[in-house]
Amino acid sequence: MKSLSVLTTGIDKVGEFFLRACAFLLLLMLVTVLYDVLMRYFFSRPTSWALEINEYFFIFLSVMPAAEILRQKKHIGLDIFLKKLSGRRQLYVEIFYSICMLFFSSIVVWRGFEMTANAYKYGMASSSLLSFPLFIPYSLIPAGFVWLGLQLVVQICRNINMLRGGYE
Amino acid sequence: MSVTFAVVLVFIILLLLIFMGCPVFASLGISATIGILLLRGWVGVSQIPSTMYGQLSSFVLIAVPMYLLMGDVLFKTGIGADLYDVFSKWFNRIPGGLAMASVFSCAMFGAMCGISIAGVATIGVIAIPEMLKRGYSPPLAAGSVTAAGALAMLIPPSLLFILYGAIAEVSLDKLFVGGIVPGLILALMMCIYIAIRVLINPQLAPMPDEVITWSDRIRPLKRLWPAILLIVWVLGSIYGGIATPTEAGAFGAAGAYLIAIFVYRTFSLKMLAETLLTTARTTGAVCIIVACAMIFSQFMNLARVPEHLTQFLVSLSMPDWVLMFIVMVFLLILGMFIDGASMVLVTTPILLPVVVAAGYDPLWYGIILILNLEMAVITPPVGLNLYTLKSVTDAVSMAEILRGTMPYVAVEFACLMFFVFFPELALWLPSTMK
Repeated sequence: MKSLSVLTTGIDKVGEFFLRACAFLLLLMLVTVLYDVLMRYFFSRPTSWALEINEYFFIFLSVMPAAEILRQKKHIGLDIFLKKLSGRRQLYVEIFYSICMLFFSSIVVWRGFEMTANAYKYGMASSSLLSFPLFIPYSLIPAGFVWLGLQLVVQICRNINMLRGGYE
Repeated sequence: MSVTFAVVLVFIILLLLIFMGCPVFASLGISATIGILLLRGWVGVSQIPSTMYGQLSSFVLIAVPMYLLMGDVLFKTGIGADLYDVFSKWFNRIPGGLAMASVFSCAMFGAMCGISIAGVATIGVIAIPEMLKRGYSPPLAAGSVTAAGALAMLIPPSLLFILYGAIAEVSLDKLFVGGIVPGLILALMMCIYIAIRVLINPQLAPMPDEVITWSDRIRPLKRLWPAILLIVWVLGSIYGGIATPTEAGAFGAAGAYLIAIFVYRTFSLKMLAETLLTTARTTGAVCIIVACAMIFSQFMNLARVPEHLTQFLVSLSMPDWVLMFIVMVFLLILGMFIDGASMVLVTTPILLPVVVAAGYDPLWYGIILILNLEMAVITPPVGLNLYTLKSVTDAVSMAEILRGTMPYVAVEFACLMFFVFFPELALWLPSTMK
């Protein structure tokens, strides 16, 4: 059982790291967007990369922290009806919708991986001057959902454990 | 599999999941995936990741984290205290003046930053204790912040306008300008409501005993300059042609940090890390909904729901105002259960074709939609402004917040109907632009 708890803590920790990475990228986005405006307006020399790189950062910001936000229970949702239920029933409902979410995540991971692999195989690149290899930003979508899926499994296990432990 | 059956099933699954407490992004994703599977099978779902990618890889959306960051930083500067101080001194002799001061502080905050919950948090944390100290009734105090905080969505810059503009392909410059008149009229109507309440029952808001001289009123005005500078900095960068509305969000966030560093001296590395982390979390929570809402509208398009809905409503050949009234009531009800950003993203692709078919201007519909969402953010069970106020102050209970806020739904609905029946009023200011 010990190795299992190491694994779940590990999943938590990596998720947390992704959120911290987002905070850092956010600062980088702020600086690069301002730099681009500055270069364009005052020196008439807009960067060729700022807009595009920021789009990729934004995708990172949108999908990579999903797992950690799930752990912190900070996703936007309607929990007032759930909270009216008894503790055990809440856990059952959570397990149920977590399984549904796992189904959705699996589809995104599976088809997202295909999309990424194709982009890699055919050497797809962005149509800009940067000609950025697209498999890298593409891979963020399945990667974020892989972690969301793992976090969901952890959450389901924890809920089952609590049910078994006679949680009221 | 009949298409109608699939659509009905998808909506039932969506609502069930949301009521169960499943996160909104997943509820949209799961129900849309099931719908696409029913209509197109396993081949259909191969589009899902690329749909998400396509929606997210848009520079316009970078406005979301930028304005959120700006709101978070302003909250931590303490600028709310100065705004409130000025307005409370100016409205000192008017019945219910402190509540009106929170309305105008929120409106002014809205002119800096386009995030409704940021307005509620920044002004609420200052205004609520101040009003309670002077013997204001807790519901009156709470309502004046939760409802007025939403003015930030209507008064430019506004995040929801940016989202609407991105989907509906309407000029953001014009949308922003279009929000000014409804925003100010709504603020005035809120003040009139407060005045009427206090005139009927003066105990709700006791008159302050202290004497405030004109020099007391003039002196704190100079503390408004950071706020005014920030407004000029953000809106000026847009209308001066320096930055796009998205880039102006970055201007705003940087400006907020500068104010924290040089004016309020609240900046520290810890504050920098905290604001970045909070914003990263909120961005993650909002933007994954943006991606999943797109999967949902992809399903709606596969099932040709917008087309059929438009045909059906046009075939009823009812007067346009009846149609708009139905649309507005529908949005009001939906807004009780869904947050503002999701509302814009999910309903616009379905309803905009209907509205355009009835001969209305998409620019006008954008203004009306956001005006409608003023109610969505204050109506339970999902009214983010209500919970935001509760999270920054323990001085008022949830029941008091609700009791004080609900009358504003009526005020806002009246304002909305005013602009629905007189579209020219909303369109007048943008039409003066070239």
